[in-house]
Amino acid sequence: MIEYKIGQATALEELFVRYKKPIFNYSLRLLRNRADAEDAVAEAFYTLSAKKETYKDGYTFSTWFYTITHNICVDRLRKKKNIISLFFKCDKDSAGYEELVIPDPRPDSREQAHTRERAARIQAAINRLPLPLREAIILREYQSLPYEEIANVMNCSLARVKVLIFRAREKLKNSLAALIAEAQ
Amino acid sequence: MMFIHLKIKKLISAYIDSEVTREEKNLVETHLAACSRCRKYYQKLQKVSATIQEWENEDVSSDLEQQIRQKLLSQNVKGGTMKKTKLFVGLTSGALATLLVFILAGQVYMHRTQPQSQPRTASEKAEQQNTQRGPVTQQPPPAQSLELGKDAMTIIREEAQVNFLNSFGFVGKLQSVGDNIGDQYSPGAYRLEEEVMPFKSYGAGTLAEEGEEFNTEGYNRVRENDFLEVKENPLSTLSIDVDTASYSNVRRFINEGRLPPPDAVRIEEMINYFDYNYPGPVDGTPFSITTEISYCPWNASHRLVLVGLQGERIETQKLPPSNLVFLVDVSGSMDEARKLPLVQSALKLLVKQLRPQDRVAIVVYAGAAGLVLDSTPGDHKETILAALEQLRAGGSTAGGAGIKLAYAIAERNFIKTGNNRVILATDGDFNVGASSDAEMERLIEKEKEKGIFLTVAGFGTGNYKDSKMEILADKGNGNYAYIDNILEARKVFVKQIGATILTIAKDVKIQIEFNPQKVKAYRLIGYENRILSKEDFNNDKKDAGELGAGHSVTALYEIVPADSTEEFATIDPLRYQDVTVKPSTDIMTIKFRYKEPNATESKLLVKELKETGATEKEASENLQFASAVAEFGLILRNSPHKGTASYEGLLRRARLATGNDHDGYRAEFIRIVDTARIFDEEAKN
Repeated sequence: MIEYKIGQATALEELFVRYKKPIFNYSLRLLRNRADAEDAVAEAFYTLSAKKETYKDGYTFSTWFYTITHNICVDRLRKKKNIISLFFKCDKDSAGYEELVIPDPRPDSREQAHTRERAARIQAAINRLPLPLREAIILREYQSLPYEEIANVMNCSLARVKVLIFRAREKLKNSLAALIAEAQ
Repeated sequence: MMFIHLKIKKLISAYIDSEVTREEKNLVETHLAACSRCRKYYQKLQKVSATIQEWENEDVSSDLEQQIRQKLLSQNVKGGTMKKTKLFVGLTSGALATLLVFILAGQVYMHRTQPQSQPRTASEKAEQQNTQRGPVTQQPPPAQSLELGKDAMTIIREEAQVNFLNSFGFVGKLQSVGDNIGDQYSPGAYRLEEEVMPFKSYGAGTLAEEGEEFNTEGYNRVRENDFLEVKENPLSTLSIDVDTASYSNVRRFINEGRLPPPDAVRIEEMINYFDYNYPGPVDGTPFSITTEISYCPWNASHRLVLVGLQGERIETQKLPPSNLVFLVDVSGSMDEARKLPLVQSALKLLVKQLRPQDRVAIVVYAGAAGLVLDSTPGDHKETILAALEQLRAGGSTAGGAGIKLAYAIAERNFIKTGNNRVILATDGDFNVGASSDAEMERLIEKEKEKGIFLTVAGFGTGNYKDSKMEILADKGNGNYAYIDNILEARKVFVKQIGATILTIAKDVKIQIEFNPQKVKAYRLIGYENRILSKEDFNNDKKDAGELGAGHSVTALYEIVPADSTEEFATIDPLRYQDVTVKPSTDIMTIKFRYKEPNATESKLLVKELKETGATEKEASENLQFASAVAEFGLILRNSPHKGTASYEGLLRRARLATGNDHDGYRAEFIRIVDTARIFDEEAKN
């Protein structure tokens, strides 16, 4: 990042290659909608490029970048809540609503169908978590951030992160009980 | 005992992530050794972690990747503007905040005289504050403004929220009618909300929006096509492009006294702005094909190939019935002489052309979307004109909601054998509401499948989002024109009504195979964002450009003859393949694919081109004029391939090739070039 800040365009390219996927998946799981996630990723990278001067050396870059993305996503969720729900009554039947589906271009073998079905159930269980729990567990399990970074990104105390992750796991343990038993 | 278990359970979760202190670790391990219940719990949590990993990460689509890359690149290139923005932000992180407080405080004062009653809930408040933190958020204003700041800010925030809610109070009313349109869209009603908007994004920490505010017009970077060696790239595949917006935009810049930024210059749109004297189709195909090879004005050792398509000309009266929905942006930014009033005049011109079998509805969007005029037959001109007359600008832009409503109206009044179309008139800034770009594109594509097309008419300056509008029009099988004055409105809405409104062939693709015995390398001039991969040509699922009635499309290739000694970047010869060449005297084979407007399968047309040895004297008027426009574009773009391109040369040829310029477009071109030449000379001195 420091390299990029001092003006190396190739450094940006490297950051892009390294972070595009994690940032995209983070947004996707948080926003639960591909279109929004795509926009959020794009916005995150533009912000990164536009705001590179505000990055302070010594700060973990990933924390900084996840925080940018966090703000963008939370903002989007809020706007969506305010605007769509008031405007379109955006429920399952209306036009703007879009369930996240896991696409798979390959023909379905039985095993693959099974895998996909499990993934969809996991996804549904995580999507049902309240936002803070969801975000904490996503940052931990999929982004593998240490607790301290999660606390920075979500701007809360370390203790709260512990509780959030614990509660998320408790809930998932119950909602995924059948799924876990099935695997055995 | 239960308490200990609960505490241990919490610790176990952290223990799994190795986020425990040494004492805690010991505590957990001792407990686990002793307590089988907690041991079971520990294993279960581990399984939860393992199981949720089955929801795998997804890949970023290559489209998105490319889009971001391009934008990042252009952001880097725009170093000058960026720096200014940064300087501005830097200088003003304090000062701006203070200023903002003053401005807003003033607004609040004024606004407070109006009764406000909607309360805010505590959770909304909390949520708003929630988003105002994190390391990237702006620093608070410096001490001296803080005192004033704190209170004023809180009030403003509350006012903003109240206003926000109020604007949504309209929803129910808006969906129904435009009878009281005057007060909903009168400039006063939305003022505060509009003023507050910058503040909102400022506080919300989505700093990307800030850059947008200072950075005015948006253009996608144009990366010019390079010369490609025929041996390695024998095929050139492209989608046609009938857009003409770039030319009117360039003209606007020059008329305003400056040269356009290079990325605003899209050469193919400049060439296609003009009508060419191509013969009409005869054999039942929807368009005719004209090809010509001749000299290259800006490089004596190259040749220029022209490929021209002429769509069937259909008289206005013979057009099938139209079901039109005008979607008019009445947001605050449209409140300028060259925007909303021009939109009104332009649409009035169109309305005057309508016949009884046509239908028109008007939808507006600003802070919210609303139906101003339900679908009305074309002979009720008074009603339509009166509705147009009523439009007033004010408010922020919820383009997303507007588009959805417009499509819904179009669908309700769908004419099966007719031309169903949404005509969007805007300065191009969609930002409030469900206007996620990707979502919008998807919506437009979906509606296209149903047979509802989209025409985008761009208006105004300053905040003009060229890039977005072109994408929208492309996705909706439509066309895109930039309207800078009433004459342009006449050209688009009256003269070319057929072309603007009626699609005669869709997904029109061109693929050219060059003969390596005759051509060493080639370069497609313009069409940078219309290049397709060679496989796309035969793939009917792959979308391409549409051709309207009377539209003509011209593509120019600059080719390097096979005997040239010029060197181009090449790859090493392949070790395992040897390509044999079939003797032929052709320069190239040109293949076309197109679909009838309602067909899903494409038809193929093939044409060969041979060298004629034509010199400048034998070049047709079409080629002379098209090449003059291209040359102008090369100069404006300061293209690396401009060779000996010069204002003098192109002016001379353009003057000789004005043809029967009934409408004076070519004469105007000459005047524009002449003006640009003066600016260019001034800039050099």
